[in-house]
Amino acid sequence: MSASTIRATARLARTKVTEACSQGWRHGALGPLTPMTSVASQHRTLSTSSSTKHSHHDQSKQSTEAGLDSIYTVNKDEIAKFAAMSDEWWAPQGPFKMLHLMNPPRIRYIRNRLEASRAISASSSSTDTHSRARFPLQGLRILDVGCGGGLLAEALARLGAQVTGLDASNENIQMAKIHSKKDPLLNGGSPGSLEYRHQTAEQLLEQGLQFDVVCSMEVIEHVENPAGFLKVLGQLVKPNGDLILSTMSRTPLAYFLTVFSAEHVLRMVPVGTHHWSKYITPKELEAGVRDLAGCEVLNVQGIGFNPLSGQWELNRNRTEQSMGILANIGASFAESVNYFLAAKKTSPSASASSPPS
Amino acid sequence: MSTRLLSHTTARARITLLANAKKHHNHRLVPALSCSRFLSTHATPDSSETEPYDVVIVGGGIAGSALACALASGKATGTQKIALIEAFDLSNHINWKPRADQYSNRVSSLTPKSVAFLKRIGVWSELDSSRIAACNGMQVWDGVSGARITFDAAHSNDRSTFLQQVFADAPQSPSSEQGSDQQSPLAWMTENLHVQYGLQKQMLAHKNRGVQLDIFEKTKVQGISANVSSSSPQESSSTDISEWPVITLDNGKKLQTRLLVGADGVNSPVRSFAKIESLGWDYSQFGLVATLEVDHSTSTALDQGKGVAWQRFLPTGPIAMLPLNNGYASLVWSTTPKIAQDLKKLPAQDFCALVNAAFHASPADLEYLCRNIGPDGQPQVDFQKEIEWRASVQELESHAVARQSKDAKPPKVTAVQENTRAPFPLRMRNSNSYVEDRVVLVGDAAHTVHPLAGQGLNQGLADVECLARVIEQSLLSGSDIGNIHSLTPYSSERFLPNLAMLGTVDKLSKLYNTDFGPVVWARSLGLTAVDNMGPIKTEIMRFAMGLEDVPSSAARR
Repeated sequence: MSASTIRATARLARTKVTEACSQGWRHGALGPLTPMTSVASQHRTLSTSSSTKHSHHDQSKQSTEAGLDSIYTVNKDEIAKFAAMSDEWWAPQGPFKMLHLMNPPRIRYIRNRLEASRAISASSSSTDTHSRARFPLQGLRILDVGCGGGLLAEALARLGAQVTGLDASNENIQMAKIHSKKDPLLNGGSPGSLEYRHQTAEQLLEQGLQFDVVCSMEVIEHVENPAGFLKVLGQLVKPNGDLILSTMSRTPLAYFLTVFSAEHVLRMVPVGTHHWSKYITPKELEAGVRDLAGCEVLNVQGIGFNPLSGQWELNRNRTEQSMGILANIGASFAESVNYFLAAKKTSPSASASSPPS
Repeated sequence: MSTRLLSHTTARARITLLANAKKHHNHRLVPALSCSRFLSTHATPDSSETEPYDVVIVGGGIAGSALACALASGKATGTQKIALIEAFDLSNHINWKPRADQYSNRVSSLTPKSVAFLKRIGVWSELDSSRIAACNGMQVWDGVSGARITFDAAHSNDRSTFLQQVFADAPQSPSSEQGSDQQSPLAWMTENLHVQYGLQKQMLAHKNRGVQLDIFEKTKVQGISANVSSSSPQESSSTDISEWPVITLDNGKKLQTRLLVGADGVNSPVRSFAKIESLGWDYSQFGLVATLEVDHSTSTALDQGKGVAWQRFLPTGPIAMLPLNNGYASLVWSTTPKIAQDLKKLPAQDFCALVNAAFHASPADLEYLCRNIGPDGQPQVDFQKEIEWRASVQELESHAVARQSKDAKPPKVTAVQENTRAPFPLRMRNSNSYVEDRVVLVGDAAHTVHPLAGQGLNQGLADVECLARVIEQSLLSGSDIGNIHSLTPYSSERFLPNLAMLGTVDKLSKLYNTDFGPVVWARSLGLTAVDNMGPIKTEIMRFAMGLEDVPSSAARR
């Protein structure tokens, strides 16, 4: 692909985004190639230099909302988009089908990273009891920011964690609550627990809450101010705790798969689901996590959908690759659409030590 | 022309492979087994509380019991609360004490893959090695043309690294220890009851060590129901599992389950409940099974104590003799419904004479004899004399003499055990889908195959192995094991292989159920050609032994 083609593609993407925005984002669904969504909030005042880049939304509209939104610059259009389809979260063949399929590899990634950071013991250990096999996350407090219908939060709770699911859309939270009642395991039948809150990450921070693990999957590309968002997430992680993110990279391939193919050609998700210009590359995210969230990045790993098997599969890990040039090219390709990032809060950073309370 | 011929031959080789591979296998032949078991729709009064389970398995046959054992032995699945519902008295299995000189007529051939699975779930070691016969060779020939193919274990071992891996950690399999040769058998023959016995013992052992496994035996399912998915967004404060299937038992108990498994046979009530369509047809054929006593001294050297399976394709269907220990053999004779019924009624001596004729005489002679069974089941001609006379005529034909002396001959049948002759209808079925939300089908409930290749039970065990693995993975990733997305990997892994097996066996059956000249000539050419092609034979055998069926998702992880 030539440079001019890429530029043209990028231009097209922006045009689409702008058009979609001007129409007020009819329902967007999350799509096949793009995972979960729902919106997390962020504090505009916390934002640093990059915040203005995506400020094509009407700020006055946001600021007129009372309560939740009066201080925090949650992206209202995004919330409305996903709230409108909240009852589709658990439809097996609905617009979130790809997210359902993505859940097992997400959990696998989270377990792998928590084992690597010794937050939990290795699953292969021979001293494993049946209970340890079933509830490996027992004893961990996990926050899922932008939990949507609760796909990830439910799975984490079934594995024994005490999970708090957070979403800026009340419709999502209501849907998640209703669905969580359908499984006895989530209602006292297992060591895990699950609570949902219609709150923003900043509000949790104000309450002085911190968690062993903070997850935010496919959310950061939907927030108004990614930098501020990262800062808040970092503050919500306990010292020595883990931060795990996933998102989509701003590459031509990502545009082709998640916007052009999934929205416009295959119609797997409604047009307007994704804003390619808000995608974040692994390098940008790594820098943000390090500088803003105060965490040490331990791992970046891509994930791809295999149409033959019908499953998402974790790609080879960059840090595990040999140093050959081809291998490195392969690795960067592997992270060129959907990817995960795992980081550890090494020491309480200045910003994290004083939550506003 | 030569190219066409070649491709034809190759196609035939594939088909032939299956055919030879296994002859016999599992038949659900007890007629009452499937239909009367379950399902009537009238509901019982709603008085009793439902008891929640993680997995309810309907059907305690080999597939259902094996699933219970596999789940109970899994690290994560072993924590699940499981129920097994069976209409029959399972204590018959645990109290099974067969006499050494008696064999049940329901015998299956287990592939190395199935045996490896049974070992893994601890069942194989429960079995009595003296009642397991290794099958080290197979002789398959065309009754019309005489074309023949021979398999022995050496072929499959040509590239048997996988085999060696499978057996490396379990050097003394019950059957191979008695053989002096090191080769792994092609298959193991044993009675279905015997496998049931081992499964039952393991289930009880799991129960005793604390696995939550409730066995409801002598219990029928009276009805299955579930609320339609209620996505009406009203928030309730209590747990609501109304979307889980409710199974009402004839003792008034109601079970409610996260995942309902249909292991309930070809007429699966669970499949009806899930509204899954099943397509297929009944062959206008019946199978007749029986336990035979044979005289090995009458067969050629190839057979001496080695355990050889014999199969001859006749225009009315294949007849197969499978080796058991101590001079016994199991018969599966696929033929017309009328002949099958006649064979059941025939006096024992005449029956044996006819079986011998079916393996040796010309199809025309056999047809003449079968026509002469009276409505009362008595022969209308003297079978012994007819057969002797016809054999003597055959000897006169020089080419026949040459062939007879060269080819291996199956042992002579000397007796048939009383009450072991039983006919059963042959059919083919495949469900349109193996999974629905909260419902999954395994074994004959999902697919039923013509028994000629002996793959039915092995397919069922492969289903069970796959499903247990998929459920384990679902638990480890925190998924709801009844969710359709959790079950889809099972469906995508099993559906195509089962369909391929069904289609191949079905075509094979049609190909051989004819004496139409050109077809006979073509298939004979194929059979003989394959017999002369070592590598192709090896591939055929490996496929039929289940060795090519390595789960793709296992590699994926």
